[in-house]
Amino acid sequence: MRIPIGYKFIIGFVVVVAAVAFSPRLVGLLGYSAEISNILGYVVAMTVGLILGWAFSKRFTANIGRLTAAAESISQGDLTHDVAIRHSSLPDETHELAELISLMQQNLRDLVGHIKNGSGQLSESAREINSTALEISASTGEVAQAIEQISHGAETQAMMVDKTSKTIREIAISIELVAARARETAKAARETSLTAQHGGALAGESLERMKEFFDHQEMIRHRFDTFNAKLQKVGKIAEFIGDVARQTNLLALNASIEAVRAGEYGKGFAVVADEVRKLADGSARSAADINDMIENLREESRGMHETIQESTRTIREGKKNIDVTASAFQEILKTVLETERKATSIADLSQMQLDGSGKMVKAVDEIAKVADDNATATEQVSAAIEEQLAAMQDMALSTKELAQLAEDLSAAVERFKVSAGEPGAL
Amino acid sequence: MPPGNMNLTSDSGDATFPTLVEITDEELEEIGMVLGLRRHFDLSVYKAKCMKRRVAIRMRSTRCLDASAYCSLLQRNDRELDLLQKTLTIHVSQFFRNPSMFEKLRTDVIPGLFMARERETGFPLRFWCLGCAGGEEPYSLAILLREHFSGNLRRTRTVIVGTDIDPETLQGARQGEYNEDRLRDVPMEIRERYFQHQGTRFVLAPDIREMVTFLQGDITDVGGYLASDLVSCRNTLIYFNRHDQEKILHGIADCLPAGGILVLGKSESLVGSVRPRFTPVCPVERIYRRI
Ligand SMILES: C[S@@+](CC[C@H](N)C(=O)[O-])C[C@H]1O[C@@H](n2cnc3c(N)ncnc32)[C@H](O)[C@@H]1O
Repeated sequence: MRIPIGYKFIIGFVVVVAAVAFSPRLVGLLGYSAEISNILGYVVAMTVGLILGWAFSKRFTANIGRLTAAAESISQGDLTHDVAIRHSSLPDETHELAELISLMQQNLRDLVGHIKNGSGQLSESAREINSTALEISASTGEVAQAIEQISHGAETQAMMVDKTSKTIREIAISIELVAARARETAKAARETSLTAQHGGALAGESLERMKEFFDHQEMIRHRFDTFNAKLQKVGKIAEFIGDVARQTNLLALNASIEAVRAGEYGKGFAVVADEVRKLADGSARSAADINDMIENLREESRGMHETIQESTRTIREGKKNIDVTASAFQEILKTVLETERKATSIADLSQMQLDGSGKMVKAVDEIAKVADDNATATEQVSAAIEEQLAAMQDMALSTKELAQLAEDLSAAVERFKVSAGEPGAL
Repeated sequence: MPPGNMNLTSDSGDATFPTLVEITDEELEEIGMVLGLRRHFDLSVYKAKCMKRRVAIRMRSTRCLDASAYCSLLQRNDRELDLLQKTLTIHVSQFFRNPSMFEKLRTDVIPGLFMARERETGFPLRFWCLGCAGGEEPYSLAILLREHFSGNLRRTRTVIVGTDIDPETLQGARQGEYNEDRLRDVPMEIRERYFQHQGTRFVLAPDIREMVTFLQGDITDVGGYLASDLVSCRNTLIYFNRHDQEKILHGIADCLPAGGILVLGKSESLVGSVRPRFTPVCPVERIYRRI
């Protein structure tokens, strides 16, 4: 049966008062004198009161003392001792208090144990995360280096592509130049071939004319020969006339001599003979003149013949030259045609080259684009890595703080002793 | 179990841990609009994929399930705007990042720049880091100059400027304090000469800090570019889309004199129509000379 302390006090008080009230009467029964009985009554009453009071308060202070001790050891962090209060058939508040302190102690023990465990684990995890973060930082650094390497490659690539595309563009320009030159050459060759053809035609024509000239010349020579022969015939006739005239002269001379002999009769005859002689003389002179003239003609015609011969020779020379010219033109034509063919094929080839270099430029541009993409990608990775590094640094910092917190927490509960074996802080 | 016993096993429900958020183009645009209005920050110049991932990080952190929820959060909360902007711009950097590049600058590029400047005195020699993050890069340049060109520095006035869009990052740059991981590529003796070790931080020597001026500036604001002799724009272009990369690179070409130097990040390249404006000095290190 639970009796609150207040009631216990009241009961005790009532018992003491009863003892005081009844003790004089009980002492009176002993038969001492009234004065002694009186004193004895007081003594007995006080003794009984003291004994009862002592017995009661001893029990009470013992419990309070135990409670105080328990509270003190809890306050000092020792949670190992249970509050031991003697069992009573009449429990009061001290028993309840003891029970509650026990419960509190149990709860505290649980809490401290939990915190101890938790902060230990926390500190361990924080450390682990911290070292992981540092490790990640380190490996991120390595990745960063690798990326820098790649990026270096990309940069070199970009530069080479730049150079290459410049070179190719230059090549393309010179190819274009070559093509233009080749086209010009082909055109010039075509013009030259036309000129050469024209020249060849002209030379042919000249040759034609020359042949005509030779034909004409031949004819002239022929006519000339005929003329000479006729001239010779005339000469012969003139000679014959001369001969006849000379003989006639001779005859006339004889006749005049004869006439002189014939005298008078022959006088007439002598006149005729003289006349005849005169005529014959005239004829002979004319014949001689003709001969002279023919001789002159012959002289002249020989000169003319020579001149013609001369000019024929010259013209023949000329013909040789024209022949050379014509064949030269022919040669030129051949060469020029060859040149044109070659120039055209160069133009064609360089066009093809131009197409090729265009394709090359396109390819290089594509490579440039890839290099550029590469650069962009590596840059992006680099940014991400930098971000990661920052995150890892933050993480390392906060886990350090976290570990510190856990340590502080652990230090704060360190002074609480939870199990008997473990040393308390105080 | 006693009635007063607590339930200690919390249910590890997934409601508190949203899975990957997918952000559509329209949603990104919506968020970009808020950023543009409130911060004059233009999302559209960056690679969209990257931006989506970055926004998703913030959305998950703030447990916003969709873009409209996140937008209304942005409208209410200036701090979230700051955080978002910081998350969007990635500030990974290192002192002497890609050491071989700095070596190349030292041997092949900077002597020529000084020589040209010493012939026509009067003008300062100007170095400009675009997207300088926490100042690691301009400070590296400053250390390089101090280490190897101290004579030239006495003869020629030299200016190093770093610009970035993120004010918070710039503030850190001006402070010049770094965690060890930013110094991974710094040789030991340089580290000892120019940094002071304080706890977990390394503090940069004040005379190096004084060599660099930091300015806030948007890289897409091509009109506001500084006339320079050497522009280093590394690992910043990677976040931008093609069109704006080209615009930025043309802007840089315009602010460089003939013979001026451009340095890009190791995975970046001269895109499109910009290439003919430069000739490579060292393609491996991405050092180019303005024609
Ligand atoms: C990854 S860091 C580069 C740091 C350093 N240049 C390097 O290579 O180590 C990129 C920087 O660009 C900045 N940035 C991003 N967008 C920008 C913009 N629109 N204008 C200026 N800077 C910007 C970021 O704030 C960030 O600090």
